[in-house]
Amino acid sequence: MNAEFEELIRLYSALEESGPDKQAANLAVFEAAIKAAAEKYPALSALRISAYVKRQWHLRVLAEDRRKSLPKQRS
Amino acid sequence: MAGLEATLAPTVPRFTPNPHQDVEDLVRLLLRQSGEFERRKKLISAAVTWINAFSQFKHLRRQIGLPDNDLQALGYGMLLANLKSRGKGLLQLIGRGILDPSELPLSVEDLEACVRELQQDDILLDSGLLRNEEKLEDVAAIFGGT
Repeated sequence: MNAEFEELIRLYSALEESGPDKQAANLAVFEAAIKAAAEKYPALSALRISAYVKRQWHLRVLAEDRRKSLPKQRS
Repeated sequence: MAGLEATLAPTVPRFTPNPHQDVEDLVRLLLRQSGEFERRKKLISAAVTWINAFSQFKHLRRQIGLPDNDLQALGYGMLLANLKSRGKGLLQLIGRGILDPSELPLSVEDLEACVRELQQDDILLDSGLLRNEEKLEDVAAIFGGT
């Protein structure tokens, strides 16, 4: 994963983790970042980038939750 | 609610020499005002319920993840469509002046953004991009993949 992608993930995380009272600000920033990425990589559509970011974020969250729920091993 | 009560306190009918008529006018006015008050209270309550439902939807999605098979996609899509249409309904009520946004715990901009995110997710779902079968290899090739 490159830094550019990590930034998109961070912005989506902010959108998902904050309450609806921050929705307009967070969504605007995320949309702007996706649009900028799509302009930088014309072969990719904003829709596909957005879908990829969302899917990767949800996969990470699930993996992290699963990791946390595993019983801690004794050393 | 103070603002709502204040706006619902227009002029009390003037007293006339006919006490029966005065009482009748007053009762009519009170009934009209209480009906209006109840209607507005219900609208605000519906809006608050929707905002809570939106938050719960995101919370649940965080816990469960995006849909992974046809059945999950169907349920997710139904929930998404329902929330989206009701959210749009609220925005229409605000646009028509029926629901006063100053009485809501969320700004109109935030409410619009909530509905916009649901619309975007609906498009992603309809285009199959949220499902794992769609590999999105072109995007992964540039941004890296897990």
